[in-house]
Amino acid sequence: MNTRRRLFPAITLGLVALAAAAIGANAQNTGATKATAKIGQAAPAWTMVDTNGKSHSLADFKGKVVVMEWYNPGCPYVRNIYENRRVHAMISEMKKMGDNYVYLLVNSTANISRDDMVKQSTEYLRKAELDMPILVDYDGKVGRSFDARTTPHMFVIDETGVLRYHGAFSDDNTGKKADATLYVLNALRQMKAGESVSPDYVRPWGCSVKYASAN
Amino acid sequence: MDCGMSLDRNTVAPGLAGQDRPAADSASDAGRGGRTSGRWGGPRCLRWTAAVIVGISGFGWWSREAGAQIASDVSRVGFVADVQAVVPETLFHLAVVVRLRDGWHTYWEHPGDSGAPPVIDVEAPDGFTVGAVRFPRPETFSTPEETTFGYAREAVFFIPVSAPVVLPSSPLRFRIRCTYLVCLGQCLIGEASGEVLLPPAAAGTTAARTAGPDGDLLDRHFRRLPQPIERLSGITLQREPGALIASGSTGGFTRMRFLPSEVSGVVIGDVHTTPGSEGRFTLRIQYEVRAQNLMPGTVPAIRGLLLLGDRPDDPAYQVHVPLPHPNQTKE
Repeated sequence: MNTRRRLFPAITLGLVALAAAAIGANAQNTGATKATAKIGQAAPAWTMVDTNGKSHSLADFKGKVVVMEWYNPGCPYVRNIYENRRVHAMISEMKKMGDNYVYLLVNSTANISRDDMVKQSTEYLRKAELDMPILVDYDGKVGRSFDARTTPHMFVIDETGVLRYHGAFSDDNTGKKADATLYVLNALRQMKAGESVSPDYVRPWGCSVKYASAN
Repeated sequence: MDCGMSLDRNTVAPGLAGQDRPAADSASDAGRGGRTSGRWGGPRCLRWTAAVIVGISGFGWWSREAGAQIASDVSRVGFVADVQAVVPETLFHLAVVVRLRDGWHTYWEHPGDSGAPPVIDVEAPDGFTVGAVRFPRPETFSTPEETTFGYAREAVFFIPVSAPVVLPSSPLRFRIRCTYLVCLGQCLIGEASGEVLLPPAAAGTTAARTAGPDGDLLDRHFRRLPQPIERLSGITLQREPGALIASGSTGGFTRMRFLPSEVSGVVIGDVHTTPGSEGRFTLRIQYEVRAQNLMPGTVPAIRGLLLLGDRPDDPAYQVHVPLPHPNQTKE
């Protein structure tokens, strides 16, 4: 009994000390360590269905350079790069570099119904006179595995499946600067020349990705 | 309505002057009746006659779908100066005031995980020097997915302006253009432009400050501008390899945070704050400099705000600590 009496205050003091330490040492996560897709490492594997119902996997594109754009035509920054034909210009440049390049759109927008998301995505691209797969990530699993933050948020994956660049589309979120630096195109050219990619990350700008609630 | 020394003294918008109405949207305003000022709170006197908000929806096949919201549906912009006249060789501020409908927010200069800062251009008369935009202490908006920084309900962005030695005798016209992003579930870009017209005053005099509701508004937000870190009592900054250690007086606050600003090539990692003894705190900011991501001409640095407390009126201090270039110096 006496032992228990002596132990109780000791345990209490220990718990208080632990609680104080937990309160006192306040760790502020700035999000810098959240990403699961890391430059220089294999990009997360994925399989997604496009808006036409066709299934695609990252593994299908082995041997090709894959550019993924997180896309939401409801976002004005996405519209900026389409209305000002910046995406058109980049795809044109990619074609000049060879037929080894793939440009994919990924839509993780879940603040509207899936049907509406598919409809808006395809209608917008048709009006933009572009034709590329729009991959549907309605549950947001792929977006979260890449830590896609914004629309647009760009990812460049090399022929071996390694992530080589991610971040901003360009240094101009208005899409109006004729001499804007297209970071993705820079990365593709450097990769083709066998150089290291620099910069391999630029903070992406744009709207937040409207993810489905995480379960 | 008695507006005192309100915006109508020093703002002019061709074609709109004298009307007390919110900013118009060029894409959708035709035929829309004037709405009452103060709809989203704030001084009713504040005239928004200077602002012309332009919808970004565009033209042709990009044009706005019927019923789709645009920025001017949820925000209004006004322009004002903190003085009633300009005295030679003095510093004053122009201000862009963005009023937001409940729930919507706009962004700080470093918006966090998503968003974009406002872009403000000022065209001043010859001889004036226009400085960088000053942003009051932002609020933090957190969701399970992301953390962003900005302003809800009301945002005021200050632009410092230095007057030259000699002023013309005619009124001084400052043209301001602002592009800004507002978000609530969806994001909309707004554009507003307008003018602030100020009379010149004699050298050596003191210009009256803008008074009344507008003056109160400016004062309230001016107090929220971050101060130089040197003004924090007992501050010490010590750089270690991969970490910056800041220590200073808590000033009675129990919560301290660091809001990092984006500097290309500098990755800010975890930040640990430890309240110490005798009213002091220690803040450890981990960082990494990645040479390949430094933009040309960028000096690597840790930049950001040290925030004490949680309220908008609590103190904020600017941190700016240059770092050695990784290709030049090894720590």
